[in-house]
Amino acid sequence: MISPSSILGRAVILVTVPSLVLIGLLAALVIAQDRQADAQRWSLHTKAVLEDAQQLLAHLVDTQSVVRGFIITRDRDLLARYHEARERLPGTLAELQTLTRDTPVQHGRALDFSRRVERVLEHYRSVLAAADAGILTREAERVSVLQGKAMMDDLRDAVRAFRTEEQRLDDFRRAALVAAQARLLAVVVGGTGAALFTVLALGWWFHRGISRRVRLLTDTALALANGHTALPEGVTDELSAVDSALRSMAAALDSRQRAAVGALADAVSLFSAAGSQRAVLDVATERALALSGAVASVCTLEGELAGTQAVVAAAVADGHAGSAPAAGTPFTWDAPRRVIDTGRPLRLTATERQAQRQPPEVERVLGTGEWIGVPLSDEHRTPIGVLQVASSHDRFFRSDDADVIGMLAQAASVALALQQSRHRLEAANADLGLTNRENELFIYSVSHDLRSPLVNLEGFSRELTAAGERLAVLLQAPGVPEDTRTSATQILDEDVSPSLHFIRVAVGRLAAIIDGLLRLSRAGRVEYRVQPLALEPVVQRVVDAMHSTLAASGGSVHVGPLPRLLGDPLAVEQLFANLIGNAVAYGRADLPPRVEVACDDALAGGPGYTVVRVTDNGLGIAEAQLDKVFQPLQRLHPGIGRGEGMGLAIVKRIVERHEGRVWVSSTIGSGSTFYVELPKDASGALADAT
Amino acid sequence: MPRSRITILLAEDDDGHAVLVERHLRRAGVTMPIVRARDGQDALDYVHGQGAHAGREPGAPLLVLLDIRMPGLDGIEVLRRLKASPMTASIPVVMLTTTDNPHEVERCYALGCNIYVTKPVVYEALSDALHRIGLFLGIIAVPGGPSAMPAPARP
Repeated sequence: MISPSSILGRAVILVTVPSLVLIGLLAALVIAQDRQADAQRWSLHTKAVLEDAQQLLAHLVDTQSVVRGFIITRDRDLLARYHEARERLPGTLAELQTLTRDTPVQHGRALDFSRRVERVLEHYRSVLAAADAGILTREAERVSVLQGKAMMDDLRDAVRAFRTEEQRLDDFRRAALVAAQARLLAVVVGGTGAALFTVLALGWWFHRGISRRVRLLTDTALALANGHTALPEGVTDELSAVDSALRSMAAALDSRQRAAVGALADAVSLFSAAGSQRAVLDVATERALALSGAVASVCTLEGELAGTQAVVAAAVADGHAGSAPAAGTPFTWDAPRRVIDTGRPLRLTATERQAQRQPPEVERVLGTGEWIGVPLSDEHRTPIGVLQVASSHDRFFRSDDADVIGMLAQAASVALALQQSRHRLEAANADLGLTNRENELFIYSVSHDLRSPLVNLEGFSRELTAAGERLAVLLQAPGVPEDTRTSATQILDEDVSPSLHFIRVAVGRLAAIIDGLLRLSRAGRVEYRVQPLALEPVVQRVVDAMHSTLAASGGSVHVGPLPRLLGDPLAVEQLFANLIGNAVAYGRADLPPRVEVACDDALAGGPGYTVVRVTDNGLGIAEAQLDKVFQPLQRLHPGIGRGEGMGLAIVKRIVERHEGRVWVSSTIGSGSTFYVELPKDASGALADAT
Repeated sequence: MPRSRITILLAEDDDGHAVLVERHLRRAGVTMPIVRARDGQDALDYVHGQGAHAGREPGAPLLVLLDIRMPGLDGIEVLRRLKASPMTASIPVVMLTTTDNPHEVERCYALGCNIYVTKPVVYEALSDALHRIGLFLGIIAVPGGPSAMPAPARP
């Protein structure tokens, strides 16, 4: 069953309805023409009837005049004419009867004519017979002529009435003919108009139906293109094939896009895991094959010589005739040159490639199919190489393959730039480490060289002090003149002793500084044995060692639950000994020191790290000095404690060597908190902490 | 002079240090003769009776006090050569130096030094250390005869 709303239905209606109208019009025309022909026939018929009636009359008049002539002249020749006229009468009468058969009234009249003519002829026959016999008198002659004349007049009247009637009928038929012609005209004009109108109306209806479908399809296509999930209603008739093709095309594109995005995401994660530029480019070539369905993929980078390129990484698909070229082999031809020069992707058909001058190696690796080249760039977006892919000779790249490969190359470029900056950073770090070690070695040897003279200074000032004491004893001996004893004792007490005292204080101070420098250099140089380490017992040991100091000041150290670290046990202990020692030493005079050691992992900069804080209620550090606290030889509270300003510098060095961080927050007058970030022991395996 | 009398060889390039060390040893009651070598080569020459010390009997009982940081052959090298030769391996060696680097200490013990003493700068510490060495040397000297008894410090 054809639905009238389907396109076929509409087309059928569009063809059928105007055809039916035209057929109706034709039928009407035929009928009208038929009627007209009929009317014309009737008109001719009437003429024939009138003529026959006239002829009948003429024959009768002839008969009458001949009969009359004979009666008067008795000319026998006239009798011949009479017979001649008489013979014609029956034919004319019969014809008249035949012609009027369709009109009963006229037919009746025609029959009446026959009877009257019979009577007239009978009369004439008797008159003629009488005349012939010579028995006709003059009187009889006159009577018979009058009688004949009356009969003839009657007949003539009847013929006139007949003719009048026939004329009337003719008029009537003529009017009918005119009316029929008018109707025919009306049918032709009206039918043509109706047919035209129907065709136009149906055409508009058909157009509306088609355009509604086209609009629906257009809407669907646009909605699919824009990725809308709410699609317009589908088309159900013949165009539903187009509709479903659109939808499946969109689904195919969508899944292809998903696959491309997924593969790119894979590539990005592989890039980030790659450890070298070479590894990045290996991933790029391998992914390029998977993403584009290419048979060969090559990454080339600019060579030492300007304008030359060499293979860095290459991959070929299974079943590809060629084999991947070795890294380092030259791979220079015009197309990648253009990609580098313009910094834009380039796509060549097999034919366009033929026009290029390709070294045999290029053709061997890339085959003779289509080719896409996209630039690889450094961190300044300067092209440094080309990612090239080639299809097999019987297959074409899809239109978006160049884009996908381009995105892959961009991701690879970012990864390359990251690799480069990582290399630079590592080199800088190594330089920095080297500088640190050189500095520490320098400090170490200078300190040692300084110690040597200090030993002499200290030793001989001590000798001088002892000598002075012995001199003082000698001066007390009897026999020493009084004034000599007095002035010599004065020299010893007021000049020599204070001078020696100052020398020895200065020496002591120098010695302490040198020891501090040596400790600092050792913190940087000593070899670490990094191992899993429970921090809590280490800190507890530090606190226990400070027992007497804490008892004297009435202070206390609270040690919270502490994490396990990866660190050198001795260094970590030294670190916390310094921090807790400072916290206790730089307390406020009016307040016994309260120190808290706790874990604060929320501040850790990464998952592999833990943060331990040491908080005190001590003097605090002025904001202006916060950035100096970790520098060597910085004493923030001169006059308090005996340090040389090395403790926090050593702390910083130890933390740095554990690849951690240390920082401080402090409010002057209310205390400081030192934060130490160190690598966490994630293994859970715990070596013996002691 | 008894044949068993031990001679102390002090290898020290710094004159001041040499004087201070000798004085403290004397004050601690060390009476054995103290010979000074100015550097490592000089010390080895003395031990082997060569060079400037030709004529010295190589096998005479000897105790060596070695500074590490010396020009030319340093103390560690002297120690290594002494301990490497069977002739001299039995000579007791005391390392007396400003270096308190645990690495160096370990190395010296590994090479076979008997005592490692850091020269502290602070007087009391140095004095204490040298006093301990003096007592130690005195004890060694005791079996040698009455002359090895600790003597009163020189004025």
